[in-house]
Amino acid sequence: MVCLAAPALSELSSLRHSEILALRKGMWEKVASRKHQAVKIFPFGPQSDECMLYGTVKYGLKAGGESGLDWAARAHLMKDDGRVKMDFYQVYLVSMSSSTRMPLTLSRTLAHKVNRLLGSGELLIRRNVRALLHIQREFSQNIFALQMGEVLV
Amino acid sequence: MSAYASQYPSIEFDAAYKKFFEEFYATSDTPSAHEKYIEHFTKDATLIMASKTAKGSDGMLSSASAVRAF
Repeated sequence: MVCLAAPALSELSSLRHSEILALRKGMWEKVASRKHQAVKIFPFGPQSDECMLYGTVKYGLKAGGESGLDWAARAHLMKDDGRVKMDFYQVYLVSMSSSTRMPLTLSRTLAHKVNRLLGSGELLIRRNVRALLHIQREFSQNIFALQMGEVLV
Repeated sequence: MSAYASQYPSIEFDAAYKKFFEEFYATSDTPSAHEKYIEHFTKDATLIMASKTAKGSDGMLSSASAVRAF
Protein backbone atom coordinates (compact mmCIF):
# COMPACT_ATOMS: atom_id res chain seq x y z
CA MET A 1 0.00 0.00 0.00
CA VAL A 2 1.24 3.50 -0.79
CA CYS A 3 1.92 5.85 2.11
CA LEU A 4 -0.11 9.02 1.63
CA ALA A 5 1.41 11.04 4.51
CA ALA A 6 2.92 14.00 2.62
CA PRO A 7 5.94 12.24 1.11
CA ALA A 8 9.03 14.27 0.30
CA LEU A 9 9.87 14.84 -3.36
CA SER A 10 12.60 12.20 -3.29
CA GLU A 11 10.13 9.66 -1.92
CA LEU A 12 7.71 10.47 -4.73
CA SER A 13 10.48 9.83 -7.19
CA SER A 14 11.19 6.43 -5.73
CA LEU A 15 7.48 5.69 -5.68
CA ARG A 16 7.40 6.50 -9.34
CA HIS A 17 10.25 4.10 -9.96
CA SER A 18 8.58 1.35 -7.94
CA GLU A 19 5.49 1.95 -10.03
CA ILE A 20 7.41 1.34 -13.26
CA LEU A 21 8.96 -1.68 -11.60
CA ALA A 22 5.53 -3.13 -10.77
CA LEU A 23 4.37 -2.52 -14.32
CA ARG A 24 7.40 -4.24 -15.78
CA LYS A 25 7.10 -7.25 -13.49
CA GLY A 26 3.40 -7.56 -14.38
CA MET A 27 4.33 -7.74 -18.05
CA TRP A 28 6.62 -10.70 -17.58
CA GLU A 29 4.00 -12.74 -15.72
CA LYS A 30 2.39 -13.84 -18.99
CA VAL A 31 5.27 -13.36 -21.37
CA ALA A 32 8.20 -15.72 -21.83
CA SER A 33 10.03 -13.48 -24.30
CA ARG A 34 9.73 -10.08 -25.94
CA LYS A 35 11.41 -8.52 -28.91
CA HIS A 36 11.01 -4.85 -29.66
CA GLN A 37 12.08 -3.39 -32.96
CA ALA A 38 12.07 0.39 -33.38
CA VAL A 39 11.94 0.07 -37.15
CA LYS A 40 12.06 3.76 -38.05
CA ILE A 41 12.89 6.76 -35.90
CA PHE A 42 11.87 10.23 -37.09
CA PRO A 43 13.69 13.10 -35.35
CA PHE A 44 11.97 16.51 -35.44
CA GLY A 45 14.53 18.15 -37.73
CA PRO A 46 18.35 18.21 -37.49
CA GLN A 47 19.93 17.83 -34.00
CA SER A 48 16.49 17.47 -32.43
CA ASP A 49 15.81 16.12 -28.92
CA GLU A 50 12.36 14.93 -29.95
CA CYS A 51 11.36 11.91 -32.07
CA MET A 52 8.41 9.93 -33.26
CA LEU A 53 9.00 6.20 -33.58
CA TYR A 54 7.36 3.39 -35.54
CA GLY A 55 7.96 -0.06 -34.13
CA THR A 56 6.86 -3.64 -33.71
CA VAL A 57 6.95 -5.99 -30.76
CA LYS A 58 6.68 -9.78 -30.71
CA TYR A 59 5.74 -11.73 -27.59
CA GLY A 60 6.35 -15.39 -26.88
CA LEU A 61 3.57 -16.40 -24.50
CA LYS A 62 4.11 -18.64 -21.48
CA ALA A 63 0.79 -20.28 -22.35
CA GLY A 64 2.25 -21.13 -25.77
CA GLY A 65 2.10 -19.41 -29.11
CA GLU A 66 3.15 -15.94 -30.14
CA SER A 67 1.56 -12.55 -30.37
CA GLY A 68 2.64 -9.24 -31.80
CA LEU A 69 1.70 -5.59 -32.01
CA ASP A 70 2.62 -2.50 -33.96
CA TRP A 71 3.28 0.60 -31.91
CA ALA A 72 4.21 4.25 -32.26
CA ALA A 73 5.79 6.50 -29.67
CA ARG A 74 6.83 10.07 -28.98
CA ALA A 75 10.04 10.48 -27.06
CA HIS A 76 11.86 13.50 -25.68
CA LEU A 77 15.51 13.00 -24.85
CA MET A 78 17.91 14.96 -22.68
CA LYS A 79 21.31 14.57 -21.06
CA ASP A 80 21.45 14.19 -17.29
CA ASP A 81 25.08 14.47 -16.11
CA GLY A 82 26.17 13.35 -19.55
CA ARG A 83 23.86 10.32 -19.53
CA VAL A 84 21.04 10.23 -22.06
CA LYS A 85 17.58 9.83 -20.52
CA MET A 86 13.97 10.34 -21.54
CA ASP A 87 11.90 12.92 -19.69
CA PHE A 88 8.86 12.18 -21.84
CA TYR A 89 7.79 8.90 -23.41
CA GLN A 90 4.33 8.12 -24.75
CA VAL A 91 3.43 4.85 -26.44
CA TYR A 92 0.58 4.69 -28.93
CA LEU A 93 -0.85 1.35 -29.94
CA VAL A 94 -1.81 1.16 -33.58
CA SER A 95 -2.86 -2.46 -34.04
CA MET A 96 -6.10 -4.16 -33.06
CA SER A 97 -5.44 -3.84 -29.35
CA SER A 98 -5.82 -0.07 -29.60
CA SER A 99 -9.49 -0.64 -30.18
CA THR A 100 -11.74 -2.80 -28.03
CA ARG A 101 -14.12 -3.23 -30.94
CA MET A 102 -11.83 -5.42 -33.03
CA PRO A 103 -11.02 -8.03 -30.34
CA LEU A 104 -14.71 -8.19 -29.41
CA THR A 105 -15.61 -8.81 -33.04
CA LEU A 106 -12.97 -11.54 -33.17
CA SER A 107 -14.39 -13.10 -30.01
CA ARG A 108 -17.82 -13.18 -31.59
CA THR A 109 -16.40 -14.82 -34.71
CA LEU A 110 -14.69 -17.44 -32.56
CA ALA A 111 -17.92 -18.13 -30.65
CA HIS A 112 -19.65 -18.61 -34.00
CA LYS A 113 -16.98 -21.09 -35.10
CA VAL A 114 -17.40 -23.08 -31.88
CA ASN A 115 -21.17 -23.24 -32.31
CA ARG A 116 -20.79 -24.44 -35.88
CA LEU A 117 -18.35 -27.17 -34.84
CA LEU A 118 -20.58 -28.36 -32.01
CA GLY A 119 -23.51 -28.56 -34.40
CA SER A 120 -21.72 -30.61 -37.05
CA GLY A 121 -22.21 -34.17 -35.79
CA GLU A 122 -20.82 -35.74 -38.93
CA LEU A 123 -17.30 -34.42 -38.24
CA LEU A 124 -14.79 -36.79 -36.71
CA ILE A 125 -14.32 -36.18 -33.00
CA ARG A 126 -10.57 -35.96 -33.38
CA ARG A 127 -10.90 -33.17 -35.93
CA ASN A 128 -13.27 -31.33 -33.64
CA VAL A 129 -10.86 -31.50 -30.75
CA ARG A 130 -8.01 -30.21 -32.89
CA ALA A 131 -10.13 -27.35 -34.20
CA LEU A 132 -11.33 -26.47 -30.71
CA LEU A 133 -7.76 -26.38 -29.43
CA HIS A 134 -6.88 -24.05 -32.29
CA ILE A 135 -9.81 -21.80 -31.42
CA GLN A 136 -8.83 -21.83 -27.76
CA ARG A 137 -5.32 -20.69 -28.69
CA GLU A 138 -6.66 -17.91 -30.91
CA PHE A 139 -8.97 -16.86 -28.12
CA SER A 140 -6.24 -16.69 -25.48
CA GLN A 141 -4.05 -14.64 -27.82
CA ASN A 142 -6.99 -12.37 -28.43
CA ILE A 143 -7.51 -11.79 -24.70
CA PHE A 144 -3.78 -11.29 -24.34
CA ALA A 145 -3.82 -8.57 -27.01
CA LEU A 146 -6.58 -6.83 -25.07
CA GLN A 147 -4.46 -6.85 -21.92
CA MET A 148 -1.38 -5.68 -23.82
CA GLY A 149 -3.41 -2.71 -24.98
CA GLU A 150 -3.54 -1.63 -21.35
CA VAL A 151 0.12 -2.11 -20.48
CA LEU A 152 2.66 -1.88 -23.19
CA VAL A 153 6.07 -0.87 -21.96
CA MET B 1 25.09 -3.53 -36.67
CA SER B 2 23.04 -4.11 -33.54
CA ALA B 3 19.85 -6.18 -33.73
CA TYR B 4 18.21 -3.11 -32.23
CA ALA B 5 19.42 -0.62 -34.83
CA SER B 6 16.80 1.64 -36.41
CA GLN B 7 16.49 3.47 -39.70
CA TYR B 8 16.83 7.26 -39.65
CA PRO B 9 16.26 10.03 -42.19
CA SER B 10 19.45 11.58 -43.57
CA ILE B 11 19.62 14.47 -41.11
CA GLU B 12 21.97 15.12 -38.22
CA PHE B 13 20.99 13.22 -35.09
CA ASP B 14 23.05 12.78 -31.92
CA ALA B 15 24.89 9.44 -32.06
CA ALA B 16 24.44 9.16 -28.28
CA TYR B 17 20.67 9.30 -28.82
CA LYS B 18 20.82 6.50 -31.39
CA LYS B 19 22.81 4.39 -28.94
CA PHE B 20 20.29 5.22 -26.21
CA PHE B 21 17.35 3.86 -28.20
CA GLU B 22 19.21 0.64 -29.03
CA GLU B 23 20.04 0.09 -25.36
CA PHE B 24 16.58 1.06 -24.20
CA TYR B 25 14.74 -1.53 -26.28
CA ALA B 26 17.35 -4.21 -25.60
CA THR B 27 16.88 -3.55 -21.87
CA SER B 28 13.13 -3.53 -22.30
CA ASP B 29 13.34 -7.08 -23.70
CA THR B 30 15.60 -8.38 -20.91
CA PRO B 31 13.44 -9.96 -18.18
CA SER B 32 15.79 -9.29 -15.26
CA ALA B 33 16.81 -5.73 -16.22
CA HIS B 34 14.17 -3.88 -14.19
CA GLU B 35 16.52 -1.42 -12.48
CA LYS B 36 18.43 -0.78 -15.66
CA TYR B 37 15.17 -0.07 -17.46
CA ILE B 38 14.18 2.58 -14.92
CA GLU B 39 17.53 4.32 -15.32
CA HIS B 40 16.52 5.30 -18.85
CA PHE B 41 14.06 7.85 -17.44
CA THR B 42 14.60 11.10 -15.58
CA LYS B 43 13.19 11.24 -12.05
CA ASP B 44 10.42 13.61 -13.15
CA ALA B 45 9.68 11.91 -16.45
CA THR B 46 6.17 11.74 -17.87
CA LEU B 47 5.30 8.23 -19.03
CA ILE B 48 2.18 7.44 -20.96
CA MET B 49 1.85 3.79 -21.85
CA ALA B 50 -1.33 3.20 -23.79
CA SER B 51 -4.10 4.21 -21.35
CA LYS B 52 -1.86 4.55 -18.29
CA THR B 53 -0.56 8.02 -17.48
CA ALA B 54 1.84 9.23 -14.84
CA LYS B 55 2.64 12.92 -14.85
CA GLY B 56 4.66 14.57 -12.11
CA SER B 57 3.97 13.79 -8.47
CA ASP B 58 0.15 13.98 -8.69
CA GLY B 59 -0.17 11.40 -11.42
CA MET B 60 2.11 8.89 -9.74
CA LEU B 61 -0.32 7.85 -7.04
CA SER B 62 -3.27 7.28 -9.35
CA SER B 63 -1.14 5.47 -11.87
CA ALA B 64 0.37 3.28 -9.14
CA SER B 65 -3.18 2.29 -8.17
CA ALA B 66 -3.98 1.47 -11.78
CA VAL B 67 -0.91 -0.75 -11.94
CA ARG B 68 -2.00 -2.61 -8.82
CA ALA B 69 -5.45 -3.11 -10.34
CA PHE B 70 -3.81 -4.88 -13.27
